[in-house]
Amino acid sequence: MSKVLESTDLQNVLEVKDLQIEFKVDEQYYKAVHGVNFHIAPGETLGLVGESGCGKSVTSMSIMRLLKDPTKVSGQIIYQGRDLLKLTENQMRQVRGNEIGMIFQEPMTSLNPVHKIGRQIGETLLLHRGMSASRARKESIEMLKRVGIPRAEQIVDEYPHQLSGGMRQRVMIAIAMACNPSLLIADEPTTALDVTIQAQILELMKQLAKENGTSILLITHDLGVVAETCDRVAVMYAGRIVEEGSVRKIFKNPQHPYTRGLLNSIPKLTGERKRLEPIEGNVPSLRNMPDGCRFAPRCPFAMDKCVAHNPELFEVEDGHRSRCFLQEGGQ
Amino acid sequence: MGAYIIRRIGQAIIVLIGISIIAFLLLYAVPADPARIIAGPHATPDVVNQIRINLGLNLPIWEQYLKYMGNLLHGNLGTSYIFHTSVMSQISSRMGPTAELALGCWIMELIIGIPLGIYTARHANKVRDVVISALALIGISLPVYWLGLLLLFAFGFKIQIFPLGGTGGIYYLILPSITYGITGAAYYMRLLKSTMLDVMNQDYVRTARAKGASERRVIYRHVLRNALIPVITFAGIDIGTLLAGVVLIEETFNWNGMGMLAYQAIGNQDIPVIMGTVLLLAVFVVLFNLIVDIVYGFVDPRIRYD
Ligand SMILES: Nc1ncnc2c1ncn2[C@@H]1O[C@H](COP(=O)(O)OP(=O)(O)O)[C@@H](O)[C@H]1O
Ligand code: SF4
Ligand SMILES: [Mg+2]
Repeated sequence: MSKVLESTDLQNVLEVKDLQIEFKVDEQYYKAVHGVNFHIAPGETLGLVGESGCGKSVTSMSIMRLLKDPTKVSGQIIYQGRDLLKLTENQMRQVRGNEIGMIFQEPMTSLNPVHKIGRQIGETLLLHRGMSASRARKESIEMLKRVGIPRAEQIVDEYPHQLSGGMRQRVMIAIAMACNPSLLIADEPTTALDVTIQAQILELMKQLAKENGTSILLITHDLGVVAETCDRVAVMYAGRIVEEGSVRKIFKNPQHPYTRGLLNSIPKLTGERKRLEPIEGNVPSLRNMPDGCRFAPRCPFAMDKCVAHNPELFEVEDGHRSRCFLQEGGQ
Repeated sequence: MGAYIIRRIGQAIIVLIGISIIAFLLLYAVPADPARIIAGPHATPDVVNQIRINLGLNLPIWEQYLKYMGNLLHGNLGTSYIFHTSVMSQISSRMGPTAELALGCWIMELIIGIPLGIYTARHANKVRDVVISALALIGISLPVYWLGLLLLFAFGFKIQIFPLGGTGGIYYLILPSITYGITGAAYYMRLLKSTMLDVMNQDYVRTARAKGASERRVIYRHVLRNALIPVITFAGIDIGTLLAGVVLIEETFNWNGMGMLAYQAIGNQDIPVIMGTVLLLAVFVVLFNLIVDIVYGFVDPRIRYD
């Protein structure tokens, strides 16, 4: 396994080490996440990218300890020097919504239909800041203004169904950021939105995070979003990180065949129109994980040893690693 | 909201008129000859004919109906064939005890059913849930009549805490309410449990957890309020039907309510009384449906604005 400098634990907001997640399916446990490591520095935005079903959401839910039983989670999730997996449920509740905020893919269904917007934002403040209802309401109006919602004084007393998807996602951001968390986890925050709204929401997240010095774990299946938003990127495939590095390096010099496949499937804005080439085949299901390199069944470069052995993360250049035998022994 | 309520009241009136026509046709037209029932099996055809003319049964059915409805508007539901007293007075003398019993049974169902629904939803698939759900199944399948007698025997006869039957205040109400509550609560429990389990999988519940809300808060603030919506519908229809009488309970506990009135009227083929109780039932069901719809508007903000 790759060596991580121990001293970085203190510098990083989040340090995920050897994370393993297993789900019980028909009386048997299957690994959805298999030895995942990554870290996020203060103020940094890390993109976690991969196709649907690669284990991104499950990874983020495990950080919040929100996966339902029967699920086995092991490894370490070190947040500000504390291993979240070792906290009691009560201690963990102090972290959720307070130190780590989270927003989800589905703005249309992520807000409670029977509570007013103001109360839903205020709930976080009530829980973690011990604010009175009237203080929380005032603060909610402030938050609505900060996330760029017009008519904040009225919206605070409206219900979610009165708002559009983009507005609801802004409300979700207001909820997640109300307590100035050190880390914001955004799981496909723009996937369900129109393209024009997508850019606004990403911009808003970036801006708020910058004002507060909040780090972001941005989960997406879209490398285009990563290019616009992230500092570093970790590419995930079938429960493993297969390539990681700075956004600049990965876009300039992608190594892993999976990363290259993802890059070929994003629409280019410059140059002549290029045909999109989605990667052939599908992400394997939990019960049918290939041995060896998990990408082998879909990889145009697969060799004999790829099927037999699981490649490690090989260092390609400084701070850029790839889990592929093609990069064995460096470049 | 005002326009919505007026529209709903209009619909309710149309439904009631429809029900009255159907009930009238079924009761007056189908079992051909009420006059024969009144006159008795040995009366001469002349006598039967005279009765028929007196009651207006010789008129075309639609004319009979219009006459009936005209009287109804003046609070007159006709006269009992058997007792020769006004149907209205018979019904109103039963209304008090019936309302008492209906409310008692209903509250008991809710008091038992809702907490058990919450409890089994919170502990779904654990031993406690399996045990309680099995007991609930027994509860549903217990004959009310049998359970009532058992409770009467235990708490009225062996340990004499409660009266052995009859009407007259809260003491008389407790055993029949518990009896009905036990058998009826199981429906509430199962309905609430299944909707709560549904709601617990909703995205907004995940949001609540991600805010750091405690399990308690998640259940009571976020899950329950949403899960109660179908329960309210059921409870509204339930109280509507209960108000029309609870025959088995009334019989077991010798309770002089609407249920017994209807039951006896059917036995006697006393058509004006049957018609009166059927209409009353329809009014209650429609009325409580209306109330449910209005209550909905307060529980679920999405409904108010359409
Ligand atoms: N509760 C669960 N039980 C069993 N399998 C699950 C569960 N949740 C997720 N999975 C499986 O884990 C894998 C990763 O899922 P997920 O993290 O949602 O993917 P992503 O977010 O990358 O699209 C998928 O194969 C999914 O089917
Ligand atoms: S290890 Fe082999 S199969 Fe896996 S990505 Fe590299 S070349 Fe393809
Ligand atoms: Mg996902």
